[in-house]
Amino acid sequence: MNKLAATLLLAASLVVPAFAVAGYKQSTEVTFVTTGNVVRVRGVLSAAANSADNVQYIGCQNGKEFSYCMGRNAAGLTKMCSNGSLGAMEVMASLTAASYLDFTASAGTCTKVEASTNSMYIAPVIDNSAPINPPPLGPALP
Amino acid sequence: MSVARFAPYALCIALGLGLGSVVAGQPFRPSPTRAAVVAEGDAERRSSLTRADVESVVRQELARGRGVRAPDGVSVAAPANEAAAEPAAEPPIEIIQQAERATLVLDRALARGVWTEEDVQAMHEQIDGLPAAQAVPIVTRMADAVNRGALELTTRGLPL
Repeated sequence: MNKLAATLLLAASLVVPAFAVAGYKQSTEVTFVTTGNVVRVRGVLSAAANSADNVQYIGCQNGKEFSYCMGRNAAGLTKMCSNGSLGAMEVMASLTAASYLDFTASAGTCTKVEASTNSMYIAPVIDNSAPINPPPLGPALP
Repeated sequence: MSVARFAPYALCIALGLGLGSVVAGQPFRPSPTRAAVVAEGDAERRSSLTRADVESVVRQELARGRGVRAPDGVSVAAPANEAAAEPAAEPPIEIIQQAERATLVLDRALARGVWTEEDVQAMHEQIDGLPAAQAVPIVTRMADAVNRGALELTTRGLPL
């Protein structure tokens, strides 16, 4: 029995060759806070992209005359807003894969848009080159 | 005492402040809107206007370049150089018609309660090239409907 367990453990260590390289990470997924006709939408872009639900997303679409932001939470609800002011559009256009987006929609208008770009928002890097538990060395070759 | 009696003082103050700003290196730019001092009430009320009141109004108008409310019923007209004070120029008829077509796309979707890939395509064709003044209200209305749950997005990609 112990031999079987040891074999399974060894097999498991071989099939999980990757490990995460990480500094401090913050992976806030898409959340809504609704107060009357006003909804605040927040989320880290990489967290939404890497969420396990295949539903979430958050970001902004930028145009020449107007831009809009939208987010969908894990429950599949979507919230969005638009704005044509230069200040808001500049913030919307500044998003990267390492951004945290926080916008407030009031009757469809983006009344507040904030974006933060920080290493803590970058998705954890998966290093496939180094296994977590290297396989034990076998007997020396003659 | 009357307002007319203080007119020379007001003129001197205005000229003095203007000259001062030129000396300081900043050319004096008078507001295109004249500061209209309107006295309300009868002669007795007008006579209650003090020199300090007139000086205060003139200083505020020159310093701020916008309408102020002076004491004792004296009002200064708002300037016309603020963008909000001027009526927006009427857009060309083609733009108005294009905005109406975009609005129609949204109206039809709202009637159905769903936003489809066809709506995306139709809206794209209509809203593309619309100035912000026409496009933003349409998109904002759509966003509000989505947020209220009145419009369900069924598109795989972006809705616009």
